[in-house]
Amino acid sequence: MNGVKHIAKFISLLALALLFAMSSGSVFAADTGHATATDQAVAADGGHGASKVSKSLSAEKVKDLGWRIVNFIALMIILVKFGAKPIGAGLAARQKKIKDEIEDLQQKRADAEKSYNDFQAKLASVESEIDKIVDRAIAQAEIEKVKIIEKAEQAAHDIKRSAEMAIQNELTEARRTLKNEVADQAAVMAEKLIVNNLTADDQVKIIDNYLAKVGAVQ
Amino acid sequence: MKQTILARRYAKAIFSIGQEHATYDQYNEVLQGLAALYASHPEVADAVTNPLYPLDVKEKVMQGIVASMSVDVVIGNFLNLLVQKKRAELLPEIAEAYRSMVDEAKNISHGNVVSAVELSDDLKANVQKVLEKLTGKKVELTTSVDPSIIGGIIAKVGDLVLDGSIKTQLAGLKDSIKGRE
Repeated sequence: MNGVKHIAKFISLLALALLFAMSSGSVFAADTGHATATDQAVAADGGHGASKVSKSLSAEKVKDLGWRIVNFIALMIILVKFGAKPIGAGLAARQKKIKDEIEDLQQKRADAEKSYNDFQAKLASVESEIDKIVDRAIAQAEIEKVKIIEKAEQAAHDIKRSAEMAIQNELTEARRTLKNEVADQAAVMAEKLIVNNLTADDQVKIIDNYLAKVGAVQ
Repeated sequence: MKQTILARRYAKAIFSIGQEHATYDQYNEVLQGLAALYASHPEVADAVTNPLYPLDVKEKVMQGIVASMSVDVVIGNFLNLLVQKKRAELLPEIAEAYRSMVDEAKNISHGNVVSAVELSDDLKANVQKVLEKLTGKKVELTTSVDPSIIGGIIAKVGDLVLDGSIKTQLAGLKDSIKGRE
């Protein structure tokens, strides 16, 4: 921003100097035209006199040259007085900016190089990393495989055992039911047999035997 | 509602007096007779226990009963006291408790024998003998017939139960078959 201001000042000064120079040029041209007319008049006076005048500078031309020099010096003073600082500052700012940009770019380049080197290193080690990861994954998979197989074997064992227990329970239950039925039937058959075959004498014998047994216990 | 404790208390009181006067057998007869009268003629029980009747009327009824039975003065006063204290409804329970006390005093037990067929006298005497031997008391037996026991006997004396029935033996046989592996 500052550089732009300086450049604007420098352009405005340059425009002022150009305007000044053009104004001097026009004066010189006017003077030249006047001289031409004079020369023509001199030439009209005679040929010898004309060549003599053209080899020497008239006082007016010297004066004009003096003004021109003064004008030039003034211009230079003005340029140095008012243009040196802005131009110098603009150039310094420009220089600093370019320097900063160069430094920045160098820093970026260094970073990019570093990053490139890192990536190169990573790229070199990535293959071994991949191998390690693959090995690790294979080992993990092996462990999982063993675990799954163990679990499946345990589950199969449990299922088998529960099935065996269920069968055993069923067998026990069936055996018990059968035994109960046999016992019931045996009791019913025995009762029928006893009722059909029991005589009055048997009744007395049974009671006597029982009383004898009870009495013996006492 | 049975009031056994209260009845036992009254029975114990009259039994103590009976023991002192050696008249507890007579008192027992009176009490058992009145308990039987209560059971056979509920209107008699009602006449001496109904709270709707005046107390003097109930007393007169009891006095009439006592007079007709021509009992000892003590037991007569006891019966009148029951009416006065409005405890006449306890009489059957008092009679039962009194009989237990008399049996205890005489070392008598009451038993019941259930058989599939009618027991002969010899068999009954044999049963009684065995029960007396087991209990160490004189046993007064009652018998009953239950054909469902098939054969043998079931004798009960107090807390003692002798089950020699074929029905029970068959049940035991059935249980042993079921229980054995």
